[in-house]
Amino acid sequence: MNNWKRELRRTFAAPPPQRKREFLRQWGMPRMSVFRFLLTQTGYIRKWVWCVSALIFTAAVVGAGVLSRNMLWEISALTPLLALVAVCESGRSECYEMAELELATRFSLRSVTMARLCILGAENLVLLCLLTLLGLWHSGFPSLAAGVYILTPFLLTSFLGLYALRRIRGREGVSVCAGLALFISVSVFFTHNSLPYLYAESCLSWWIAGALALCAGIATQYATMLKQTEELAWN
Amino acid sequence: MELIIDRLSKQYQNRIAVDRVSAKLHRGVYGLLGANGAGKTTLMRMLCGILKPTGGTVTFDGMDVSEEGYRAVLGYLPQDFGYYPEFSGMDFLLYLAALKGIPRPQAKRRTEELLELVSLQEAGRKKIKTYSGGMKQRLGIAQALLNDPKLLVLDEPTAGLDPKERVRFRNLIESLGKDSIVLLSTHIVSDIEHIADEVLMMKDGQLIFQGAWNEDRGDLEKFYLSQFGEENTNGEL
Repeated sequence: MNNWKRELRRTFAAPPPQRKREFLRQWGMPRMSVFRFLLTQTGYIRKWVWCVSALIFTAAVVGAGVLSRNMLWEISALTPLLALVAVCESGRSECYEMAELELATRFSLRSVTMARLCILGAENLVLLCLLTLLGLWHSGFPSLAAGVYILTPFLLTSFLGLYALRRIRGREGVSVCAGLALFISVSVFFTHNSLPYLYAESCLSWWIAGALALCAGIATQYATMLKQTEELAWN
Repeated sequence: MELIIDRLSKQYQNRIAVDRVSAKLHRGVYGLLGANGAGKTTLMRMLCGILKPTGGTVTFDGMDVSEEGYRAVLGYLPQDFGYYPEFSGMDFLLYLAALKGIPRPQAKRRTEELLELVSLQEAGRKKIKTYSGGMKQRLGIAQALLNDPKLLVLDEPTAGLDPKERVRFRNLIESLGKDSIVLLSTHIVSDIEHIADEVLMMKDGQLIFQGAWNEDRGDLEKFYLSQFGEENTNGEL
């Protein structure tokens, strides 16, 4: 049978393809779904981003679950690092001068930035909910207050980090973000002891108002950042 | 296959970088010549949808530059480009293939083909940070060809290549021009003379010459020097 096949192939050899490239070109590339695009982009988020999240979560679980400690302030002080990682990952293209190449691709830089924001935003949302539960555990605070005390340093770092990254381009911007995150982290860790009146029940409404204002500020910063990608390449 | 540039302009506050440039490009290689600051890179960035024009339009077979369909047929090599530090040559090509919407199995096959084409098959798995300038430039050329573009925009493609590689890439660009519109900018007049079917010359943001350059017109190099002065071409001719 194999001999027959071989003989037939030899006798009736297929002619070399003509204008194959032109034929294939007319069909273009198949469309990629949004989900598939997000999945592809998830693979390109650096491993240390996931590692930082895993480390913070592990520290919170060990502290609150295993050692039965009040971890609210430690978690609150660690969330700026989480924000720092997310902000740096969002502005990565420009930092490494990949923006111009990414802008000229089919899924342009805007889609890439949006995809990164969606992936990291979803991951941070889940993680912050879990961290709030862990922070609440031995703290004695109402759940709303614990949530706001954990969320506000995260939001403040995100807002200031995005602002800095937009204003100061490249690696210097990342350094400024890191400095800001560290400052907020240290401040949170010490202020709950040195300035306890800031955490009094009467101040809670101010904290909530601040958190909401920061949410609006972050949305504005992201919108401006996406708009700015258009003129990135001009030197 | 037609690229229509219609009164394309770009103004930055008090400076006009590109001034009402109009052209119709068909299959072939187009050489864009001009001194530093003539507006070549700005024009190319607008043709790639990276910069928004102040005025005018760019369309490829009826598709506007802002459309996804336009970018799907575009290949672009910028003058300078970076890379993510953790990337190898292959990772870099696969990443850009993903952004160009090429399915993974096809992207892998194409990446291997292109690494071979630019003689980087052995260095493909090495980190880009270990590459020389010439290797990086070859990788840049490879990424521009990932999606088998119908419109290929190359900003100084032969910069950083040694003479042997330069000749190889001139031949490659020439063959690409048979099925695509290839627009390449350079200071190197001899590159243009060898491969370009048509010459576009820019000065102060305006197109001062467009058309095929033949021997009847005289020496292109002399014409270029008369337009821009010898100081702009030191060692590049």
